[in-house]
Amino acid sequence: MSQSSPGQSSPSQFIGGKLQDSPAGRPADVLDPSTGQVVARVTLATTDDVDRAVAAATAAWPAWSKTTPAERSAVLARFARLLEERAEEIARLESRQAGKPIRLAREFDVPGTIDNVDFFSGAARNLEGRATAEYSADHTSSIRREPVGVVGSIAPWNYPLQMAAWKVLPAVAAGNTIVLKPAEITPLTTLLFAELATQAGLPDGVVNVVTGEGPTAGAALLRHPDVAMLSFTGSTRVGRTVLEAAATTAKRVHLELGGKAPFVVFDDADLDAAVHGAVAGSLINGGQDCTAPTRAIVHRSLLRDFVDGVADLYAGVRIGPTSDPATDLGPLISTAHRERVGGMVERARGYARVIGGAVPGGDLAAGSYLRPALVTDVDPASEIVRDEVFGPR
Amino acid sequence: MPFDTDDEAIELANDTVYGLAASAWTRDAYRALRATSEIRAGCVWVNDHIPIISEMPHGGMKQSGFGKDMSSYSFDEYTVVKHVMYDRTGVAAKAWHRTVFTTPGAPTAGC
Repeated sequence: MSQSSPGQSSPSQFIGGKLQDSPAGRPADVLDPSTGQVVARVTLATTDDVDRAVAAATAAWPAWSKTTPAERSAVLARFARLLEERAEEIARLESRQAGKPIRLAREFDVPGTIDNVDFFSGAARNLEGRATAEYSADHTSSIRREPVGVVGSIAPWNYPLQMAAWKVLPAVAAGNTIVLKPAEITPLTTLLFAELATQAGLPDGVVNVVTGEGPTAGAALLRHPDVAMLSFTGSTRVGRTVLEAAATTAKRVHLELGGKAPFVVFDDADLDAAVHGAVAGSLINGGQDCTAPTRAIVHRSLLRDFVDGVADLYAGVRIGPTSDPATDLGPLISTAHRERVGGMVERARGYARVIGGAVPGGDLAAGSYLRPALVTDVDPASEIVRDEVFGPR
Repeated sequence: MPFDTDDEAIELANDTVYGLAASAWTRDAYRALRATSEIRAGCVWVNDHIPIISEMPHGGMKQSGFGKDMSSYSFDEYTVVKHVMYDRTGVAAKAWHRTVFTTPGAPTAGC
């Protein structure tokens, strides 16, 4: 995808197979969290844009839902190869818009996405119902497995490309059409993903992307009467509003919400493995991962050594520019998010022991960086133990 | 957070409104079996934490939501199952119609 020159917006809606502008949309900047610089200027979708996208998905449904599994599989197979050809470009764009260390984008986000496309290319041909049979003497019964219709999906900013894949692939492999709203701060790889899927042969309107904000574009999508199913990945708080919206026309709902994963270390554990696992798991993607281990529950006999080991490895993590392949830890997604995570860490200093968690200066001051924080001696009822933090700790 | 007994460890692990993922670190097969069955989360790793694979489902329990991403289980979200039932007798008056047609002159068996 071409990047815009300053002040000029790049088309940021993908509707009916075409990348286009929102005619009445407000401009907004996609920032590189590691530098604060503008990666692209987008225009945010209005409710009219959402209507147009749902109309495109609705128009595409009759034909796409009648394609054979082999036809859908073939499109996805071509799509996977196209993604492979453009892998480096996609990795760089993902790294810039989401503040991911380039090593993570190259070795995790992009290959994981391509593997997903290949998986669903195969899985598309394995959608079966039970065998046709006579369960009553007078009848023959069979099961048809059919697509739901137009799916309205909302994806988060932490893994923009992979979340686009998770939303789009099972939906289209099964014969649905989709309108996907990426986070308005990280839409660029989702738009490219939809463009490449269309180049691979996905018919116009099967995948549509609206770049917009939750309260406007998101709300319109969730309540649209022609949307049959809602799929949302994000916070539990917003997940509740998705359920409320679904009630309007009894939409099917799929929710992947917050987490607060326990990490239980028994007294016979391999301590070195556990320490490395805790550090890698809690710092991958800057801790902005819904499965990140955030509650270390450690046998009393190992606790001191575990804390020392994690603190040691945290201290050695290379925090730096996302474009440097040697960087282990990049910035948080935005300065606003860093304030939120930093606030939780600062409050924890009042009731627990906190090691690290400082805002780095120097060359990194322009980005939304935060050093990893290890919080110990906590009460199980405290905020840092109860609530999702989504940051490096 | 420290624990002293396995019971306490499981209790602390489950002491959350969320249930997306968890891990248990142990070389004891029985502890691993217990942790994987009793921790309420959509994925429980043993001696690892984070890896995901396309063939296996990702999704939570409790207030982490419902439904699965990835894997063939995701098709349960994105498809509807329809029952199609064919009469195979060709008979106009079905046996079960007696529950409705009680009057003389009701259709009788035969085409």
